[in-house]
Amino acid sequence: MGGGGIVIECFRKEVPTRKYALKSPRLSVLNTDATQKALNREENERAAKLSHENVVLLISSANISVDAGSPIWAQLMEWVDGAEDLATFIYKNGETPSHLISLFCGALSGLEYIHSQGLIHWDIKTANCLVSKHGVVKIADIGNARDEMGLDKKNEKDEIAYRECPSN
Amino acid sequence: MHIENAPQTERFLKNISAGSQSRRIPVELKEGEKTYDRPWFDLYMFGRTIGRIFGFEDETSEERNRLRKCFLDKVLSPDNVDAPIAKQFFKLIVDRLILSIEIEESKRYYRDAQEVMDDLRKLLNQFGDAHDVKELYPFSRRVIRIPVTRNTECSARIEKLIDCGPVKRLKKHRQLALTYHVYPGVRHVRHEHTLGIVGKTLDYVRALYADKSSVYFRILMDSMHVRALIFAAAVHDVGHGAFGHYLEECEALFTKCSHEDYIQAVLRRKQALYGATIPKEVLKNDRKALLKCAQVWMEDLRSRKRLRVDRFLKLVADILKPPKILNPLQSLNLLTHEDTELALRYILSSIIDSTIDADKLDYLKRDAHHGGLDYAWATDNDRFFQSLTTVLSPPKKSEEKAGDVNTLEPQLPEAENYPTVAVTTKGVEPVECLLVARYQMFRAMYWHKKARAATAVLLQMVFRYFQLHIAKEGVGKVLEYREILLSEFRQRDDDGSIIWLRDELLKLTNLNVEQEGVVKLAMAILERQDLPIRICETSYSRCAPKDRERYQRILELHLWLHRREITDYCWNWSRILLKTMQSIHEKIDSPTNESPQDLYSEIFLDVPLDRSSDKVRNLYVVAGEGDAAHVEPFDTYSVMGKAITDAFGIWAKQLRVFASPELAKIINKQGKSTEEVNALVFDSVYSAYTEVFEEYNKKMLGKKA
Repeated sequence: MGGGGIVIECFRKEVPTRKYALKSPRLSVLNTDATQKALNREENERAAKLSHENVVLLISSANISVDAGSPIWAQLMEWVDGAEDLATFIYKNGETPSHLISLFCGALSGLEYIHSQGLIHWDIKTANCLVSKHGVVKIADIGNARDEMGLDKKNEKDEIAYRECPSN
Repeated sequence: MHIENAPQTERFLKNISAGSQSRRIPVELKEGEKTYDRPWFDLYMFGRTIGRIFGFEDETSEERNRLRKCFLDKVLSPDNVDAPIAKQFFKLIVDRLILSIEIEESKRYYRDAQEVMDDLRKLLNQFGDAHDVKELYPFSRRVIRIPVTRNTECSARIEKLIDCGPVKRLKKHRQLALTYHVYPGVRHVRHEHTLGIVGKTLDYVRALYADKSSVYFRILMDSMHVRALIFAAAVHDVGHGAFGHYLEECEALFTKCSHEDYIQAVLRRKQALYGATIPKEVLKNDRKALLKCAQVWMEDLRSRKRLRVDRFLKLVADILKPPKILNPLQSLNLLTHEDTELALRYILSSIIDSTIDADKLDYLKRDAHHGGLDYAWATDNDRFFQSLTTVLSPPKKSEEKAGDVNTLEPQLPEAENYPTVAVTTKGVEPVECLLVARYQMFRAMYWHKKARAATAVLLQMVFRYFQLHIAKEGVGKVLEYREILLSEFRQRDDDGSIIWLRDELLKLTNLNVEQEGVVKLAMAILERQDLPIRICETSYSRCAPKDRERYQRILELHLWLHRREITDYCWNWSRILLKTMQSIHEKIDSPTNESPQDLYSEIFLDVPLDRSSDKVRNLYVVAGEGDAAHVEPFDTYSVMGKAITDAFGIWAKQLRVFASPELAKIINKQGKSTEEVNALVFDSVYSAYTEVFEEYNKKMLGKKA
């Protein structure tokens, strides 16, 4: 459960072995006014753009009814099997510096991908870097992501593809 | 979509209304600050996350603190020899990520997550990012066998480099020029040394990647830097022609014409960096050949790091002559790319040119081997490489450490504060051996009196070449003549250069009698026939205390002389020769013949110049391990640094005067003792220098008036 919502494990009746994560905002932040709807839509649009092995995949989103109560807006996401947050996983399973590097690189690879899509995650923390029981890192919770500001990154990189020594 | 998840519904709703305790890292942001919507912000947050994992920040609870401690004890345990390096490595990356918030965005080290990944992966391989530089792996099947270094790596691209035009040219030039007159074995060529230094540079890189005391080399260097370093090692002597170092001794005639200036002009494609006008074709061909080689060296660089070939050559030029640090007293940090690029260039440069560089490590043993000397063989290379490390911020001279002149504390030299290769305490003895070996090699071989006699003759011929040209065609074309000489010396082999110079002098001189003299001089160098004979030899230590001041004065005036413009130098130098000769003749009651033949083939002066390369500088020792490691000047651990610097100035450097065999015979007939002749000639040299200095000053004052 994160600061902005909770995540629960679920599955389709027809394929009970395939699990999904259902994520919804907490009731305290849940409302149905226009602003929140717009925000939800934005988050969906952002998350829907992302497809990378190190980023949690958004499958769908909808208002769902739970036990005949009011509909709650939720996202259906890829389930990260045996997920633990990055720090906890490392504390329990970290063996060697090279093992740590492969985990960090997994997270950074996800970040690099998110940035390449013009997004800034804005909420990177250990709980948003999930590690599956197979050791694959997935960046989760794109809810706070914002569009990148500033120059077009690609152009900038081309211009300074090589870092020159300044004094010459 | 309808989700059926009945078993968990109750818990789901309960959780929704419960709230949570976040482990989010608190960050204070300035309101309305748009630059936070940039990738660096995620990287900053990621840095804080991994910083917390490694204990650089507090954990959120006692339980997590306990978990973290167990993890750190396991992964970075003190028993693990790699742990201190890994800790330094992660600390530097975290610092670069976190402290970047203090730095302007354009200057921050990491621009994107890919760069952080690239740096992290540098810890994974034996040779970090340079794991694709195949030359670093031992037991290559492709070697070239040379003395001393024996099987020396010679991959296809090294072969291409050492066979390219400018490097191949070094096959024509003997490494020790005229020293073979004394040590017949030292006829090895610069090209052999080039192969040797490439081999030694590879050893340096291997040793620095195996370094367990400092992470700087591993984290700073990319594959491209290591390639550029090998390239720089192979081309560092390209600017040398015949008698390279010996001509460079005559600073006044060859200002800005050193071999370093030449290679800088070629690599940077800036002719102005070289004092002489390089013929366009030569510059173009040399550059073209090096560009072709650079292309081969960059072929398998991963595309991300592919850069233009000319930029690669510029990097090579930076390694051979790093850009100046604008404020040397300010330590470089590795948080900005500017400082990082400067630091890595200085470290790479120190592998090629420093007190403990690969150049010395190769040439001392190689020259000793060919000369049949044992002095350089004591250097314990294995121990040296085992102790090799890097220093980013050498200690600044503090008042406490500098000591007081009235106490017995050693006077430490002014720290130059440049990043450099250094040794751990284990390397102190091998470095001492290296310093002593260099000193002994200079005394026994490089500055041997016979070799110096031949060199003095050569320099006299070169001086006459300039003087005659100036007399004939004025000073206007002096740069042209200088370049012709340098160019001929570069293209011809050593003996061919002497013959060319002899022929040029014969063309320039009108008097038959002087032409005979020129031929005699050339024969003295080529065949060791009638080589001038030493009539005076003294050093600061050998001078009588009353003469030491005069000795120092001669050295000062000699340095002053070399700071003059070419015409003034030529005028003053010929006056010094003339006055020395007149004074000697006066003192031995022999008539002076002031014909050019006598003037330029009777007396040969060899006055040492004060050179910074003779000083032990920017040399440091890393003491302690892990967090307790600290950098100390070499002088804190050994007296040899200061002692060798003094030894060069006081004992090794000799002021020598040589006379033609005829004049030497006349002097001998006087029946004076060697000491008396020595004193007599020394007096003559001193009075010549001082009189000419006064004459020149008067002349200048007269001009001003």
